[in-house]
Amino acid sequence: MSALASDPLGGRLPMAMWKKTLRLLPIYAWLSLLRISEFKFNFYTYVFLYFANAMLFVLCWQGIKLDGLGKWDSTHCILLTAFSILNFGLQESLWSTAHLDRFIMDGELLRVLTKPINSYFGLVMRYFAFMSLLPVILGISMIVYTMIHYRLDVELWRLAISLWVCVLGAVSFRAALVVMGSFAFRLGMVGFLTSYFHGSRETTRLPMTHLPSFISGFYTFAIPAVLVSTWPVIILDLGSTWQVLLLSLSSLAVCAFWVLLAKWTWTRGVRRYEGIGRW
Amino acid sequence: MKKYISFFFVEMARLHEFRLDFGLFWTECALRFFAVILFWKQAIALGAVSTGAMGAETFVSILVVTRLFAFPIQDGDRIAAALETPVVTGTMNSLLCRPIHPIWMNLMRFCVDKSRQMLLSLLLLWLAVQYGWAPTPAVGLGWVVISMVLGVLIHFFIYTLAGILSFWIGYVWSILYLLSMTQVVMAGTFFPLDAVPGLAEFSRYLPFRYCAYSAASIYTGRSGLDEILYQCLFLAGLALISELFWRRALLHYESCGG
Repeated sequence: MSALASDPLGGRLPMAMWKKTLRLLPIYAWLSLLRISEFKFNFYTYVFLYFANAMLFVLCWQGIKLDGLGKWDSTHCILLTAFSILNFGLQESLWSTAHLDRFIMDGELLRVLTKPINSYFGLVMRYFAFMSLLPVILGISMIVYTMIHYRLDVELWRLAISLWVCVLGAVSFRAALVVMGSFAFRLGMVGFLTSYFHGSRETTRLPMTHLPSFISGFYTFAIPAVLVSTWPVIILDLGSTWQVLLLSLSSLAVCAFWVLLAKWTWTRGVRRYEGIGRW
Repeated sequence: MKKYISFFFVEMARLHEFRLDFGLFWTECALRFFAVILFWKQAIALGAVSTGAMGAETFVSILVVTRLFAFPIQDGDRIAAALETPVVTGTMNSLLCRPIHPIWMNLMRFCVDKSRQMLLSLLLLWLAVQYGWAPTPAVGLGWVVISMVLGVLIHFFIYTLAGILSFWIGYVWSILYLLSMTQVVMAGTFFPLDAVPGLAEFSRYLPFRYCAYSAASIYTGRSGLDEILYQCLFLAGLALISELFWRRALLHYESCGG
């Protein structure tokens, strides 16, 4: 069947559709919670294992005793780990955005397209990972603890802006993944593209300002990974007021760019999509 | 055995379905490799990190070699998911009805991915040696390849064990998360284990070291061939435990329908 007729993203969403989509959000969140609690072990150990992992990296940075890399030292690298955990917790809550290529190839998209709901929300919110918000709390706690324990003299507004940039980073990152996923409409499997995003998790634990310019440029312009942890830490403790302002505005611009691009590529992709379903 | 080998070729054909994906899979690994190595090189050049008794040159060279040997041990969650997903979604039934051992079937399937990644490792290692990033091997390359293969098999059984646990606890991705992150540190791919006092010794009691760091240690001459013996012991132990757990899991498994 042709997707054009059934996909609401083909045109402007009527207000009734918005209301209906928004009304579904708490229902999907509740369903997510029920689905997670079906397997209790995973539910109970999830945050503990995140915590154990965070401690592992804290111990490593303390063991390495990094000092003198510009303004960066081991404390800032621990903050990188904390922001990274916070950011990926936020990202994981929108789990399905990283797997849109698989949904397209497996035909899951068709099932959503036949329903009278927004196709994008249908895919993303149905798989909303409620539990991933718990590492967000862990990340924030770790940031606050590091600030207190290492006696970092940080103003509250800097903390607020750094957290905001981290959230923008998560949104940009996932919007960029939607763009990559949308390439599956044309290319089929695009694992080699999405792997750049999944793989960047490791590099977000390093201060990207100290990578060679072609690599840090790639992680800034091609993949918004620099927003995940490096910019938030600079805003929190390392940058001047002007730098904070510049990075905040840049984050907003990067986020707006990726979100608009995601909307455009997804709409175009769905328009050219054809499938004969079994549902 | 013949039927298991056929899985290898089926998987090979399946991977070739999307040639672009197949051809470019390595680009991300290469970028991340350069990012991490160049970061540590700069940190050492600025004197920002203490390399201890290792010395700066050894620190970088062993990190280069370890990361190259770690290419085939990156997608453990897929290995575990090959058992976890059928259990949780209920398709394990159809798998059990077939006259095959799912663990060996998975091993053959993952051999395709692993072998191409190992080839890539060796190719990039050759380039690294040519450009002076990595030293020439301290022992015969055959020993290094044997150590790499053993490391990949150890990695496979670690994640297979995690996958088998899903028979009891359903989803295992919280465990997979911990395993993958622990592996990043304890396999020596984030920084050389010998750079942190005590960590290298502690890593000997965990299987992660034997996935990539052993081959790198043998290659650079920091460890003797006895490292291969430890790898064999860990591999045998993990394979045995996997088999025992698998049998227990089948006894525990209950389902109807499908």
